[in-house]
Amino acid sequence: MSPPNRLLIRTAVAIQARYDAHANRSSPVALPEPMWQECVRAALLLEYARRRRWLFATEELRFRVRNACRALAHECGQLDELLKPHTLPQRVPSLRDLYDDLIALHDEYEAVRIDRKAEVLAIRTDPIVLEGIDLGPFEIRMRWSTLPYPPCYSIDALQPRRSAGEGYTHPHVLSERLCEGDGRLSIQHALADGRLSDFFGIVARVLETYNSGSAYCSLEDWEGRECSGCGDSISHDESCSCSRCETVLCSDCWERCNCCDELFCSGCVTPCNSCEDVFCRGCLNTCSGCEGEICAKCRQPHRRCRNCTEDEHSQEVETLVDATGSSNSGSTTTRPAPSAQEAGTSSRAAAVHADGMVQAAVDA
Amino acid sequence: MKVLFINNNGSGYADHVSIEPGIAVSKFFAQKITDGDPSDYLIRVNRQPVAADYVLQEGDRISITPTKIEGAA
Repeated sequence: MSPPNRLLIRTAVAIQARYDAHANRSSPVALPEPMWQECVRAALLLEYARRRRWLFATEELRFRVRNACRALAHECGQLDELLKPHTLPQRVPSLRDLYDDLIALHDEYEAVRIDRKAEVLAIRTDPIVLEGIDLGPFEIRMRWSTLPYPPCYSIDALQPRRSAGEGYTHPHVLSERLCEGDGRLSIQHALADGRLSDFFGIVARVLETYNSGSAYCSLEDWEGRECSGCGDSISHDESCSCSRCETVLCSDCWERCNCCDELFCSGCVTPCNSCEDVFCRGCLNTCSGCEGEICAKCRQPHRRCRNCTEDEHSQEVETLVDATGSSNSGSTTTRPAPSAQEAGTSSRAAAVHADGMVQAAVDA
Repeated sequence: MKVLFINNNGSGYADHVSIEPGIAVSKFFAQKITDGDPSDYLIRVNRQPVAADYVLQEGDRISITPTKIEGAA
């Protein structure tokens, strides 16, 4: 007998022993006797209180009976779940069947791994390609120490090509657990009957099938989208589009207009010349003086920015200072005296914009 | 005669069924999977793929597994 066959026989024996132990396990059925006793006791007390017409006590005891019945029902439900036929193997598979299944697995799959110490039987699938996306090969790993319950296996991506964002390895696998969907019952039955080749075959078929209607991550969004700002790959949920040029952006790269609150890429927003907050082009105005971009808050009368308005005021003040200086100290100045019209204009300006400088100039 | 029929379609049961002697796999499939196309299934006899005209024998183990089984989330 060649060594591989000996290994298969030993594995078949170990797996059969597990089924045998499960089928012949001593599992005393513990009926919920204490809960039932509580129901009886509470019901007797309730009847007693009713006869005595103790209204308050009757209400309290009715509540107690209901609680006791609920607890009893809960315990009965758990017992029912424990004794359900589908959780128990119908039979202990024969050594011959288990051995033939192991041979069939070797025939069907290129890589079959048996780790007797870890009690693991695993097969490696071919690279799985769904909708043109190569997800790489997977290892279906069954731990026979926990047979025949369905959580006895896991799905491990050997060369994972993870989805953008959450990093799923397969549309129907989460944390190495396969969401079996339509294959759930047939997987349960295959495990319960000890049909190893059927079990691995069904799981492999589920992995090879894409259900777009119920997936952890749709294949359309598998690759994610590339942020036009930083170039990172991001999931559909994490991305947004520039409201103007519709380029894809991640949360680190978008800019929010401080006026309309819409999201934009950095190329579609401009800082205000005055406050330097960013705004989209639709929310900015052009200063009639310097032609810089200004936001609505910073816009001054005559559609001017603050700088231009201040410059204008400064010029007016200078003009006023010049005019005042000429009239008060004509002998000491070399500037020509302003005309009467200019002087009148400056006086009006001084009257309107009487600030400290103007006052100082007048005093001087 | 009896064969072991393993239907991995849907509930996935395994049961011994009586069949007429001399029945081919294709006819057996048509009887058991009435609305299915054989190309959508992996049909194996005694764990091996067989031709459609393979005649079933007493005690054969025939399994029918859909090629597409939809998972969920």
